Amino acid sequence: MQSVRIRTRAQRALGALLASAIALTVTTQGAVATETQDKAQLQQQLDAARGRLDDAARDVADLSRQLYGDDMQGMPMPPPGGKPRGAMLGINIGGSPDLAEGVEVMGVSPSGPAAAAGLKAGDVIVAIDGKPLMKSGDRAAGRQLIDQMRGLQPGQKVKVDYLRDGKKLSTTVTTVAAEPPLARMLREHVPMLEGMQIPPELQEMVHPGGRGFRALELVPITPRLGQYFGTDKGLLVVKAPPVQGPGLEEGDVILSIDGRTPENPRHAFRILGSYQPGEKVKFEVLRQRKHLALDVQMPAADPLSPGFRPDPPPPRAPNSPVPPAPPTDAKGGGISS
Amino acid sequence: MSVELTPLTAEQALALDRVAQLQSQSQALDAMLSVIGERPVVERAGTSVPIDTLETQVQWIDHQISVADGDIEPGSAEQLWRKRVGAMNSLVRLRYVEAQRIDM
Repeated sequence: MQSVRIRTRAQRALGALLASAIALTVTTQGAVATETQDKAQLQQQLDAARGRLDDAARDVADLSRQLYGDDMQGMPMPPPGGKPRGAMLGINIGGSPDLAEGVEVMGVSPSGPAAAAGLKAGDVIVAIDGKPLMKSGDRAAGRQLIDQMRGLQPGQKVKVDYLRDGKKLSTTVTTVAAEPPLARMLREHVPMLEGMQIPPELQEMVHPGGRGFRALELVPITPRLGQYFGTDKGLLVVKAPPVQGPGLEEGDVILSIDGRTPENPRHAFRILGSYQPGEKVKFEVLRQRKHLALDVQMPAADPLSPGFRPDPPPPRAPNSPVPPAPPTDAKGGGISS
Repeated sequence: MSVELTPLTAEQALALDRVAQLQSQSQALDAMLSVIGERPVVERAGTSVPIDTLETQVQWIDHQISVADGDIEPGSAEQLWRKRVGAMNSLVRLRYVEAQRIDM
């Protein structure tokens, strides 16, 4: 019953998500077509629509998690001390055929290590770090692959030899920890809780707080951008959410967040997601090529959409009558003058 | 992977059939995601965080499926594949919306 309710909520959220996307497009088209309209008002509408989109996106992720879950039940948690058991390549070998040599990749996890290394579904992994994966008696090659992964450390670089279209290729995959998403969030956000079992009622705590930073837009510094901004690392702030007191500004380059160096925008968002409203976050930034330390108070909510909950899409307007098609000649062409 | 030659119950056989269907759906969703292409260079927290969460979920589910392959009941395998399809479905929708926004 609860599952049905969650599914219904999920469907509503998805509806709102798509409706928001459509609203964004319509708003933008309107802005172009009507030059006399107040641009500030249109911008406000666009920002509000973006806020609704963000809300709906978050709902979809939350509800998906409730439906499909982090699923910690029955799965091993990292042992005390926070060390995960083994590593993952970010591939799916479920249902792969029982080959004499190698393991067929049935799927590659989106944005996972194997995807980053260029592996694709259909590739046949024949060796890991030079150790061939061969079927041995009843022991499938896939089982050997799993066993090898258990012995690896997260972050370790492994050489993967594979076959694609009959050609033998090699790539290097940087593994990630074999741990549930919740454990990773805890490890990255709350180091003192490493290895602890978290009661279900507290699991929401690890889901992104920091809602006030939803409008934040970041881009990694590239060599060319770096020449302009005077740094070869950091994240450029493209859009900064308004906050009370000192805050980030567009054009700032974030170098660290509370002493941690964000590797990419997603990493920065995950770090920010661990803060509760009202908490202070210390940013080290470059502003106009000068180092600056900012103590920013985490906002309570996105000011663009205070307390917003997605509305159901408006009812469709009745179809207007279709005008009759112009008469055509026998050959199917139009009327000629 | 290793195949146990033990007779299946009717329920297990049906579950295996459903697993095969879910695997097909999963592959179709993988293909849809690849069509959407790379993530945009400029990332917005409001959409990036949910996408990151779903990707992490899929990665963990893939690991569970791989580790459990051949060693679990068809019903449990079905549950895992159903989770993957569900998470991938949400991921494809979010990535699609994200891509649309960048094109505006």
